[in-house]
Amino acid sequence: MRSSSAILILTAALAVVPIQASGLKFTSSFESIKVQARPGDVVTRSWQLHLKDNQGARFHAKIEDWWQSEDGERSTYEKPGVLHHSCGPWITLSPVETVVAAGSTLSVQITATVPQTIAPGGYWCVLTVDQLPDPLAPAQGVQVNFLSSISTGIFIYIDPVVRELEITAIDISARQARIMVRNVGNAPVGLDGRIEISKTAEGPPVVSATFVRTTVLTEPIATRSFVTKLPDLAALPAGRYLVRVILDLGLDHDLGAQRELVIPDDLKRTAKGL
Amino acid sequence: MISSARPKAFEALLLAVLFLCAARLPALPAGWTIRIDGDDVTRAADPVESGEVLLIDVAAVAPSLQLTVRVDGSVFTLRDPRAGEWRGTAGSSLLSGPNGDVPLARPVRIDNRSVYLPVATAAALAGLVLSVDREARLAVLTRTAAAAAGGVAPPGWTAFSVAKAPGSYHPASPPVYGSGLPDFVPPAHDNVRLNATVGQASGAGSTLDVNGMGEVRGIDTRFGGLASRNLQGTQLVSGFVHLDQPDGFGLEAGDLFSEIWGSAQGIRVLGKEKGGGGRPVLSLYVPDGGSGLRQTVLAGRQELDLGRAASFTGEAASDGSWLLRARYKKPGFMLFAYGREAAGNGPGKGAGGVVALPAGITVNAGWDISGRGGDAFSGGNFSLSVPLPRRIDLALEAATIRTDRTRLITEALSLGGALGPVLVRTRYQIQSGSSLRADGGRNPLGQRDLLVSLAYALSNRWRFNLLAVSHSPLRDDTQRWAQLGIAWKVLPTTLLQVLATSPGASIQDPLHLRLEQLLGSDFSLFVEYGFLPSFAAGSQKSGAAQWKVSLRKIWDVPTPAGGGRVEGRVSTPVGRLGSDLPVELGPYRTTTDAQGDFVFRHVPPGNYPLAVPPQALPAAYRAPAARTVGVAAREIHRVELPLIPLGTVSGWVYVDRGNGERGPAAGIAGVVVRLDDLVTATGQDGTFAFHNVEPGTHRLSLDVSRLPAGVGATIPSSLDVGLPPGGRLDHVALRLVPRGKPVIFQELGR
Repeated sequence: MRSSSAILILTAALAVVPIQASGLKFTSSFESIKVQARPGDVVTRSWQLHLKDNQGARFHAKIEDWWQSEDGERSTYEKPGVLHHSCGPWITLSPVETVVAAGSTLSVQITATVPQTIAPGGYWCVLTVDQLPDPLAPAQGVQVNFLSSISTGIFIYIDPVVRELEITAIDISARQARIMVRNVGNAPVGLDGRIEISKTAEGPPVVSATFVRTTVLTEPIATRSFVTKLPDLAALPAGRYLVRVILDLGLDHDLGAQRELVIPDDLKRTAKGL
Repeated sequence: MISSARPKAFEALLLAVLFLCAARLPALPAGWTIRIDGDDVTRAADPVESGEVLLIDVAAVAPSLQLTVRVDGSVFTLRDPRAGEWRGTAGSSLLSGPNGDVPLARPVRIDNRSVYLPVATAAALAGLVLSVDREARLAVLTRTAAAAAGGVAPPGWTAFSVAKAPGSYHPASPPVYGSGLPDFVPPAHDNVRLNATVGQASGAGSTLDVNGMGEVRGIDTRFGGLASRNLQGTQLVSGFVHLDQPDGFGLEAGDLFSEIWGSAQGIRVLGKEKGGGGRPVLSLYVPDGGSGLRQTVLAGRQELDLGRAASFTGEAASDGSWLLRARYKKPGFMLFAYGREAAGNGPGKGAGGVVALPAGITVNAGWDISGRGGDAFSGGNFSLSVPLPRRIDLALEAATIRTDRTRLITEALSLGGALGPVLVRTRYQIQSGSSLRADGGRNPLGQRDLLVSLAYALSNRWRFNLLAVSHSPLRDDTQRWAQLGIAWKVLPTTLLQVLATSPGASIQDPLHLRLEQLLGSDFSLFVEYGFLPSFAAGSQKSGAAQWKVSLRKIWDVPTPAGGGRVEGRVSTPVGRLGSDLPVELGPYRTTTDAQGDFVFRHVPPGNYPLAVPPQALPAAYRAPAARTVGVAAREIHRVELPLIPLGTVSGWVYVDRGNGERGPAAGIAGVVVRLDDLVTATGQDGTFAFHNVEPGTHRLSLDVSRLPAGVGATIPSSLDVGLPPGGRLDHVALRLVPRGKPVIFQELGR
């Protein structure tokens, strides 16, 4: 088992920006591959990586299962099929191992053969492309090789897909807001969120902050917490405020929860609770 | 001003236009009921209709909509349940919101403290679902199911759910299954575009112009006819029909063009083209005034290609007329010569050619002789076109004309280019010659002309053209005049063109106007004022300005499709390909069904490559090379596309230490393994794998020159493996043996 958040964090942070990893320069879209399919479908997509023209490389492509810890700090990669909702066993790749010349493009065909009988919902895995040392390169004694590894999510949705979350906890302190959600649908959910604190229901927010976009899986950890920094709420004038947490699941409506926040009393209670 | 010559026809035309415009505006009755979450709020909402759009007073029903509305004169602000701020102005068709502007179906109407918005906009702002029953005159606004459900919130918190603000949510399009590559197939039917124009000119007459162009069952179809009615009566001015099937026969009738007689009338059969022979053509011409034919003539024509460069055309007619033409054409060079004899019109012959020289210079020359006796004519022409720097082009021209009475030489210099945004073209022309007098002497002829034209496009809506002319006859005063042309696109559907000519011009058209108005439903209205040469003959006031009003209608008429059919199956001996696998036939693309079958219907004749596109080819399959399919009209072509399933060869390399351990536990890392020209290295546990290997026999070998230290290969170090289609060879074990360094003993102390 390999536990690392580095790869996906790298993926999310660098998006389409050309990156240099251990001397290898390349570009790729890094966007997750999302496919709508039916039971029995055979679906092919292509993933590409373009090497900048300073050096070529040998690559090996493989499929892995992937999930994140509840706080999103750690990612876990396992052999395909560990998760019930893994699409890894459905996937074949071509090529699996190949050499890409400098300035050329690695194009990996990803074919998902969806089982004839499969429950509706979202299934996922990751395509991991590892840079390999050249087996024909002459040995140069003791050395350290820095090799790149890139992972891209593959999500396959079988209708009817239910995207549904519950907000299970909201903690507001003077400097940050922490939210816990649980995925009660049948598919991973991409989630944007924000928090707004206003003096009245009609008035504009006096404090507003957004949460970093995240994905809430259905297994093995269906809960997810995320945190955003807030300006010092204790510095707000004492009084009653309305705090709203609004979550965007990509549906035609937003989910939310709201309550009254009394400053500074509620902040003191939160501090004591913590 | 409208002439009274045919007032009834013109009025009827205008009435027809007005009727068509009025017919596009449906009337709506009143009496709507508005309900919000089950409450009847009709009285407060005060629904009013504007066209087909229903407006309600959102300020009056703001509490029911959970909106906060403030009105300040002609401006209102609105806060939606998501705390989004919106702002609108009376008369504006846009609502400014947190995500930008949202267009409104009708402009904002503010009446004292009331703010009228389209009911659909009000529902979207409030996060409600709108359902409208137009027959029952009922509009119902309700909370979404999700909003009604409320969602789940932690203890102490209240859950809510709101529809997204207008413009911030773009519903996902219906799911796209398969490769995601869109289908593109030949149209299921052909089409003929029919164009009919009826025109009425003041004091002249009316015309009806009908023409069509398109395909019927793959047959190129064109036809047209022009009928006019004026003081001289009603007559069919022209008409033709052209039917031509690619790679087949064709038929033409009506107005024809003959290389022997020019414009003629008759019927013509186009034969099927045969390799190198061109199309045989058989024509039957009937006597008519234009061609000079006095009897019915049957003529046959055949082309003969000699290689790619040379071709000959010969035509012979039943009255003894004939034509022979030869042409030689290569890139940058063309030469032709012809000879003909037209019974009654005399002989004709000529030659010409074009040569492209370096630096873009083009030379064009030609020479013709025709007729005999008093109708004899001879002429020659020469031109030199020279492109200059800064996209300026220069042309020198010379031409001679010689008839029984006249000799004329024309020399001209043209210069064109761009001065900033203005296109400038000038031409200086000298004509000189003489004409025969009755006494046998000759009168000199000649003139000098200088033309300067400027063209400028101010924008997509405004274009200007200015032409200035100086005309100096040999024995007369110099005439100078100018002409200004303006094209103004008043509206996207309205174009006005004005052509104004100064006094002194030989053109009797001081002001010419043309208005083109698109009316919708493929109707167009044209109004023209000025000198209309085509109507001058039938006019009571020849040479005077006239009004002309025309109405055009275009129909696109579906017709049965033609072409051939290509069908087949994408197959595999093992595995499953599923459905919706793309197959491409030249520019067309379709997908397979569950059995792998595909079909392209109505494919135009031609040769097309057929293949599974590489980006959609399933991994672990290889496609056969693209094959070319020749498609003929009305034929069915069956093609199989078998995909080749690829396999896997895997195993491990171990070190046989004599302890009986041969499994991966004895594996050794870093051993270079080859499968034909593929190469890999063993992993930490000694395993290796070659994926996507074509079926057949392959040589698997160890690279003995790169073995890790301390081990050696046994003999043989390679083996041949046979891989069935889509098969796996998973347990190939390759053996190495320890190889210790030899120990050399030395005696000490000697």
